[in-house]
Amino acid sequence: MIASRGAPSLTSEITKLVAIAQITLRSRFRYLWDMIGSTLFLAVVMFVFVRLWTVTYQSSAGAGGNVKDVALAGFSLAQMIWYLVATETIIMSMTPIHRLIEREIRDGDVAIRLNKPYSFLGFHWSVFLGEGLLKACILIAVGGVVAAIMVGGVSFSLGSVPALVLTFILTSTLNFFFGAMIGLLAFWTEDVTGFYFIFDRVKWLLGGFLMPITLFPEWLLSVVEWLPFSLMIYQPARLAVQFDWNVWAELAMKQLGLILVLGFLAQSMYRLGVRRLDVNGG
Amino acid sequence: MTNQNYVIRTEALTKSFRRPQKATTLVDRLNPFRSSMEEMVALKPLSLEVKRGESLAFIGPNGAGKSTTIKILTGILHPTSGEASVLGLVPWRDRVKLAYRIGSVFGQKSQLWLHLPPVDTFELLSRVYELNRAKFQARRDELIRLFEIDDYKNVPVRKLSLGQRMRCEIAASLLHEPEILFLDEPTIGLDPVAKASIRDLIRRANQETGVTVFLTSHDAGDIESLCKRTVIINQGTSVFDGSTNSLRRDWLKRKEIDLKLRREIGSESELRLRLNELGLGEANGVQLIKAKGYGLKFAVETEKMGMDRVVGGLLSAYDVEDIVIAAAPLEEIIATIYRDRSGRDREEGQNRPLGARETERGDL
Repeated sequence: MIASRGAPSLTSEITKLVAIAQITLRSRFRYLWDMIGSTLFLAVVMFVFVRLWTVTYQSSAGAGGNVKDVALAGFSLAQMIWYLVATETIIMSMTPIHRLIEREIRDGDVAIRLNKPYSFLGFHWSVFLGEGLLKACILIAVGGVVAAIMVGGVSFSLGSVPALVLTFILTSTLNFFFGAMIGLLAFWTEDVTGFYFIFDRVKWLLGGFLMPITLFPEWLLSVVEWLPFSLMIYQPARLAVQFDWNVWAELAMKQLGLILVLGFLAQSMYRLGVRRLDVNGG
Repeated sequence: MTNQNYVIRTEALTKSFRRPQKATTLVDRLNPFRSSMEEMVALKPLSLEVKRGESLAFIGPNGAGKSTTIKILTGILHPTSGEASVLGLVPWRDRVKLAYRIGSVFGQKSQLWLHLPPVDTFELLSRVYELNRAKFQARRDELIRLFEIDDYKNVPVRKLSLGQRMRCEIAASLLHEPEILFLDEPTIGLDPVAKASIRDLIRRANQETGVTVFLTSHDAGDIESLCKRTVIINQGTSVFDGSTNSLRRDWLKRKEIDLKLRREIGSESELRLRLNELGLGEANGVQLIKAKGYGLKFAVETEKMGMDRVVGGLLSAYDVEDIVIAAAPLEEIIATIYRDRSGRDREEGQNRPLGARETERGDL
């Protein structure tokens, strides 16, 4: 036997996760043009957003006012549009992980995962991240081109790219754990679509997907600040257009803390659920 | 439960599934967590021992509990009760540790990445199993040569035929040199040539590397050509455990005799009269299946009348040019065991004759 029998080390576990993410990237790369084609819808969405927000900024500027001098919730028009490119990138790059996990549990494909020496959730996280990174690159390119043509660029430092990539990974991980936990409900219930639908819409509304949460009324903002959704959309998207190292560090700490809690909860759900697995038949 | 000779041991292993009962009221339909469940027994107490290097066929009709057993033994399912030890480990508790030492192929579920060539999956598996690079490359090249997949190792899996894909699946499951290979219907859907080729590869892996083979299949050909021992399971319980040869020899007391005569057979009534005079009637377990031209065919229940008496009687009464005595095909024997067991379970006390002509040919 040439396989290792020792206790798994952190290095070996990371090597496995990286290998899974790499093969996911290679697999998705085969359909790069399909993926690019499917993101062209974003160009239409961005066009509509630009028109809507331009009208909003014009009305705020008043007759004779200059749109460029107006800031809403701390965002200029260009920043607002680039903020929306960032939120669209975060949301549209996410694989529907709840559906994948649900299908694996329901159809018995989970057998292929559980007979390999890796973590079930770790495998899915790597696939989610590998696919997400590729999609994010395409989405930023498509959305960025539309935004640059219609409202111009925003100030951006290349030095912040590594930090933003890390923020994207943490943001994806947060979204992954929520999606995975909903998918894991398939151990107990037949269909998880309803749960995810409700969660997703609440996340969109309260997370700042369509507008920055700072535009919310005071009372709602004070509620939203205690919820995790802004860490999943608003705060990382705002960081992308108004980068600040202190904000980045604070956000990273909050996201890491929440990831630890969610990771523990997801793993506990998995451990409980897998005992109930009823993959019956071939 | 430790014994060096046994790589698999189970004791009174059972598994029941809980399934939600069909909702009858609106309230039930709207409640995703409704508690009304029904219990379905997939595996009745099963005790089994498999020695290192054995090739075991674990067979049974659909819903018998075969796949459930494999999934418990590979750590995928938790049993409801009972004990199991695979390579000294408790599968469901030591799933990851065990995964390094076993390989598995599920004929209906692929471990290969569909859009990538098989070598990419091999590469991933080398990382997943933490294989030494040099040893992995040597092993991969050896399997590519042995399984003759060199021509299509760089072709995306989705473009491969089912037979080619299955070769790659088995090669992938042998990369880490497992001690036990679990095969769940590895030849399903393959044509006869591809089946023969896959069987040959599994047999060679068993003989040359000593890997223990635990096979489930509906194909009698897989069992005959691969496995020295057969365990038949039906309705969650073992109904036969013995050598594959003894299945054919001992279980079904039925043989067929095919005669070619030198003279044409007369009328059927005359023929039956003569057979009755020889004592070769249905009451004595001799059934005339076919009588046409120069040919005669009989089915003999050897428990009722010995073959020596039947053959002796026929040779004394007819001028025989050629005679063929054949046992029933293995698949017919197995089907008979399945039916017999089900029949017994349904109609307790009522005996169904083994080898009744109602068995069907084809995949079991």
